[in-house]
Amino acid sequence: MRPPRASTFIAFGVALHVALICLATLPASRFSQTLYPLHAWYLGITNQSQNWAMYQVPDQARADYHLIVTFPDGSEERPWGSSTQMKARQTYFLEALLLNRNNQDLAWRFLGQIHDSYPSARRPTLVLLQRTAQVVSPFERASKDILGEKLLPIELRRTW
Amino acid sequence: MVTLARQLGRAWHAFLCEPADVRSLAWLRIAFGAYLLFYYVDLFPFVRLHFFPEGLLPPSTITDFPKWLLIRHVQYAFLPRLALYGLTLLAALSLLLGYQARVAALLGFVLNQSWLSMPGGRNSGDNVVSVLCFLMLVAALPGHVQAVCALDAPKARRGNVPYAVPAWTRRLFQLQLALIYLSTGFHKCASPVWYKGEALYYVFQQPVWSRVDLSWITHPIPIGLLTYGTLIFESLIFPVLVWPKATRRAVLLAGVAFHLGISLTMRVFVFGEIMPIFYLCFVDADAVQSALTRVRNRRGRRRFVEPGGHAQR
Repeated sequence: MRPPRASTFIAFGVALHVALICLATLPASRFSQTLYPLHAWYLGITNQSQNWAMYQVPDQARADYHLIVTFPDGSEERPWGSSTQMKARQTYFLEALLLNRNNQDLAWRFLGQIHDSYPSARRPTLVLLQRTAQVVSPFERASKDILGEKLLPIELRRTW
Repeated sequence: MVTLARQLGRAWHAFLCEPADVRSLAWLRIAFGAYLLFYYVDLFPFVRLHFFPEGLLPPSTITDFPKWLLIRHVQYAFLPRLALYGLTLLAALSLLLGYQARVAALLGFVLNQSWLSMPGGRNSGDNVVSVLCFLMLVAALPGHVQAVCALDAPKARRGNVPYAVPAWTRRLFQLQLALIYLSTGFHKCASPVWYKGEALYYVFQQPVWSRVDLSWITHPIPIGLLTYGTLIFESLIFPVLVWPKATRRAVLLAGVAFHLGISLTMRVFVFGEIMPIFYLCFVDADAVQSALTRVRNRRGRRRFVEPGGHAQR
């Protein structure tokens, strides 16, 4: 017996949906880049980011994130607290500002916003966003010393 | 060849169109609606940071955002933006109650697109929320998620009663969930640190992302077991063994334990809460109902135990 037309349409539609989201999960390659136009429009309209490569490459450096303001008298303050006191999303946001080059304008505005959040009588002269990191030794050497050399900090500073 | 294709087509059709109990989808709608309320309240500082006046994304900076984003068409002033945020909470509440669920799901989808268009601070957990918003809209349009346990449902079905609809909306959720695990396992297999069974060593060395200090775990046995265990669970156990009824319950319980373990030890936001909610699409409503009835009966029996220790019959 032939299935009714509506359910055939649904079966085809679901198959197409699954095919498109499967294509979108493929790793970056010439193959996936060639197929990109096939699924990009669909995922864009339906707001489905299908990137599930969580922890694929764990950070091999022990990183820390700092948001520090400095006042004219030289005193410092961390408006969001230390990185372990911040909410995880705040730390993630700071990481995105520092490590993603596309976010540089956003980071600049963010530093300005932190500056403006203080009352005008107590505005900081410097707002610093910084990532410090120390290399984690390769696993083979983990039993001896876990931390290796310190990396140069990545930072963004705005002064007034 | 043609026969094989025809048989595959029929099997796919049966997989999508067989009648399925809609209660688990209704529970998923309720849990997701409740979670969205919590999620957006928690997200508010970031919504304010980006989209409210004096925020990081004034209209001049979002001209390259897609035109269909609602946020682009709402006046850049405190009250209109607050109203839009309020509407988001209202949509989540409506979804939870199953009141005007089609409109609520549509609003939920559209507004989620706007709020999560912020360029930084969005992780995979947020992506799961976005995908669920879309699938919830697809399942709400034919009335599947609000067929029972909803104010929209006919009076006789407003309670938690069995009711069958074609399975395809439930299958969309299930296929998506299985794909998330399969894909993350697939990507990890390509990474040397996972392949060599040492990835968790590097993960444990990140105090910024840890709730508990596990950096002392450096012995190859626990690191290897945890790394390969994660890899096997994600790439094989969940995507394959969640389908047969005989193994489904064990896989789902293992998955809950897996995400609970991650949530207790690591500062991973959204993901730890949203994934167990997503599991509801695989839950067998009859099995849950009978387990609840057993618990209720046992409680009832205990209530009727006399002071002398004899239960009333």
